[in-house]
Amino acid sequence: MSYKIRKIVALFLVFAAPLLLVSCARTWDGKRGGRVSGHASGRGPGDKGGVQKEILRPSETNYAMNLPARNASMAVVEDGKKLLDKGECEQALGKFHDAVLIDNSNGVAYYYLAKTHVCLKNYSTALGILDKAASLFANLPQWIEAVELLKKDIEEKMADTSNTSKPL
Amino acid sequence: MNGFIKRKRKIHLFGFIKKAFFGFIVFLLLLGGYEYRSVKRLEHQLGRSLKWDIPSKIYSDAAYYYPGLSIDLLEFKRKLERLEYRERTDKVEGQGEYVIKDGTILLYLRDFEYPTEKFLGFPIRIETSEGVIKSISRLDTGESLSSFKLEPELIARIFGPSMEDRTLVKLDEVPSYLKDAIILIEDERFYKHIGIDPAAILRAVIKDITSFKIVEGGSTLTQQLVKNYFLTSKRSFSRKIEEAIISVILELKHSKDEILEAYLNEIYLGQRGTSSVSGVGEASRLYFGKDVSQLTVAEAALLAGMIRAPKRYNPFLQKDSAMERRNFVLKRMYEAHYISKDDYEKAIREPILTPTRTARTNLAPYFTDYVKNEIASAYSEDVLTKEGLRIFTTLDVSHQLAAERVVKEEIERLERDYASILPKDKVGELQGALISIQPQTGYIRAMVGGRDYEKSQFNHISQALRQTGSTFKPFVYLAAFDPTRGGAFYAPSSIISDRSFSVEAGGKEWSPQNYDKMEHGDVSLREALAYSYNIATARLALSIGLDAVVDVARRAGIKSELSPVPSLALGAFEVTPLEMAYAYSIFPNGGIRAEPISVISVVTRDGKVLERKNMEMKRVFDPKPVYLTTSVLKDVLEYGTAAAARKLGFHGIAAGKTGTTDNYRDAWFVGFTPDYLALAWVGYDDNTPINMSGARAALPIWVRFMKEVVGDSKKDFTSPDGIILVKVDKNTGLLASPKCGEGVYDLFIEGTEPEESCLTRLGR
Repeated sequence: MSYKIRKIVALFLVFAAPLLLVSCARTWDGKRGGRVSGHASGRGPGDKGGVQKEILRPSETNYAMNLPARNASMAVVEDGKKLLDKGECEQALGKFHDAVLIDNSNGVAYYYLAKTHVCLKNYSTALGILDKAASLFANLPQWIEAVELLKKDIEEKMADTSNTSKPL
Repeated sequence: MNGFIKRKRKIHLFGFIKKAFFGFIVFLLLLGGYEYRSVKRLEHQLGRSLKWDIPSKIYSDAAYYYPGLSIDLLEFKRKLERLEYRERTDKVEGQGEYVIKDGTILLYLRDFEYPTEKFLGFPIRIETSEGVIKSISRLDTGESLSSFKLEPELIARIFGPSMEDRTLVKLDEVPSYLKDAIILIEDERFYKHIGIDPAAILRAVIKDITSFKIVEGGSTLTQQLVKNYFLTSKRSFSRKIEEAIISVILELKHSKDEILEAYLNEIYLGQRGTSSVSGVGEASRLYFGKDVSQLTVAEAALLAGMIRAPKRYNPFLQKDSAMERRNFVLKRMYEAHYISKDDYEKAIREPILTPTRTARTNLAPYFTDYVKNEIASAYSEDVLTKEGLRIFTTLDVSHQLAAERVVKEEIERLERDYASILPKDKVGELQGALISIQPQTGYIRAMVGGRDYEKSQFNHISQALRQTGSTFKPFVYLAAFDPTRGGAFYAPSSIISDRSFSVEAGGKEWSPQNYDKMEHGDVSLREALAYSYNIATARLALSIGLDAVVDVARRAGIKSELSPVPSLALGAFEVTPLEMAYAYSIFPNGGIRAEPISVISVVTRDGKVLERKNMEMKRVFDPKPVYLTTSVLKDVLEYGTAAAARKLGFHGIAAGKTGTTDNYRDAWFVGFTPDYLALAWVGYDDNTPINMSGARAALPIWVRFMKEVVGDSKKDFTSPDGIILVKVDKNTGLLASPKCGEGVYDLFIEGTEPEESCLTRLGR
């Protein structure tokens, strides 16, 4: 082997091989990281003092929804909605309570429970329950919007109430 | 002389007549006064106003069942027994009956008046397979049901001094055959006499003389009512006279139907524990588990027959005597043409079916006291013992019974297994307490305030102020993980020193020590909380500021006194276990605090809602730092101070924290799944050290309870938006690099993750 070829091989061993190894190692780490949650993020790696920031996002739906409970709860919500439509707020309240107790992670049940409290003029109670509903609608923009609209409506009603109760 | 004697006699006779006349006038006045008084008393007591003291009743929450729900058939059967449903062998024919056979449940639901709806019972079929409900359908229409609810269980009655249990009934609610049977067997000429029946008295006297003993009393229904309602059971001639007079007055003032209705509500029909059961309404519930309107002819005949001697004909204890007596009444009814031959033959063949007898009269005594206390400002003891209110609560009786059993057995086990380390010759028993709540609603599901209510009524859950020990620490970490607090960012992987230090507090040197008396060098916050390191936690609290810690504890719901002193972080202040349980509920509830609720509504016996309590909740923390804290509290059970939970057989997803106070005076464990939270406490009332840690004394109570009521649930805590996992170096908490050693993924609030590499600490 000529001197030139030996020099090229030596330079390769000194500079390129470690880079290749580091690259392989990162690929391996990345795969292992993926196993942690199975939902690798799309965020690009950045160079932080010579290392990548390796980020994963927990699954957005990583809580196990209890489907049977949800189905049973939603059926009760439908019964409650009929009562609410008829203006029978007290009776509807009982139904939405039942729906929440059957499935306490059913955001729709909380939403309508809050709506029923608005019907009964329990505004601050309704706002608190909407906090819970909102926390359960994390990835459902149309429901988040509904919650915000109802919140706004309640705040207006509360403002009206406080205005009318002010002494002249 | 004779004339003198005659005149003297005449004067004597005149004096006698005069005295007799005055005596007669006085007698008439007294009689008139007595009658007036009696009439007034009768008017008052039999008027339209309340006639009897009706104990108020405390009910549990209703239970919900739906396809897909796990169901333990044995536990379900126990629940039906507590609800006084009656077991049949093949089919259900009336309300309050059930059959459980080969995984199929036939259940005839009962009518029940809820505060917001009147439920009318109907029969259903529940198909189960491998402990799961597969389908629910109506037996009568075949309609498939998405769910059904079982009525609340009666937890306790609130009695006055008379200890009489009674369910008032109106005359038109009572089946005609029951009224007929009672009149026939007790007072055949009821509609003919005027309160007393000379013919019946003569007949009774003849019968008693010929039998050489008292076999018949000859009292009318009116007289029986008067005796039970107005007079004592003392046997005397004067009382008999009084009884007769009042009976006649009663008949003059009231109709026969009014008297009969009063009688049906008044008559004594047996005992339920220490309380007496009066009236046919309550007796129907006790002996047949149903409303009086639903009694069969045979059941009505037995009830009528029992009036003479409730104990002798008690169908729970004397089935043969009861059967004989029932058949005798049925025969009389048939002979008197009150029932047809077919009805008679059918009734004679009917077995006597009673619900399983429940010995306990109060299923949750500490909770009952707590509820009474909660509503005391609105409803006095007098109202509660007289007005027959119905109080609907949040309690789950199955959970309550499990909690009571677990606390009692585990405390006994501790006394047995650790007799050598418990104090000797101690006055006062080792106490244990447990509370469980549903974090999302704030509902109290079980409350055991002590090991034995008979011995101590002091409720250690709601009344005892105890030092919290390490159970307070999560609030320090929650404050540290909250980026809105300002100051340095902390994450579970952040590193803190667990090396001894001193600080001046209150003019004295304060130097925290670890439980194992060791120092652990640099540790992550995750390790510090999982292993409950005191030194690291105290450092952290001082670093973020003690006021911030107090603020977090207050927002979580702790109302007891807290001061920003260094020992605060290690749980030096006293709170009630109830406060602590609710403060922890913000973790499974993602930063939302639901207010404690035990009473849902208070309803009059006519169904009018007097009071309704709503679920009240409010967001008090951002969900992200709450989630980080919860994730660390999960590690407490995985490898930290509560790792023994796994060895004790609890394999579900849960988080929690142990607590042991100075000198081992209190042992705590607070743990939760996403849907359920329970707190267990063990200690002595006088703060004598128990010489056991929270993991040793309180954790086993929590584990056994949770295994029974929750099982090994695999439902995990929900991660809020903005939480990321970043690979960090364990030793520095900075970004991982293979050159620093193996990295681990840990949780961060997005934007607070480290930007620096671990290599910078290696000097590269």
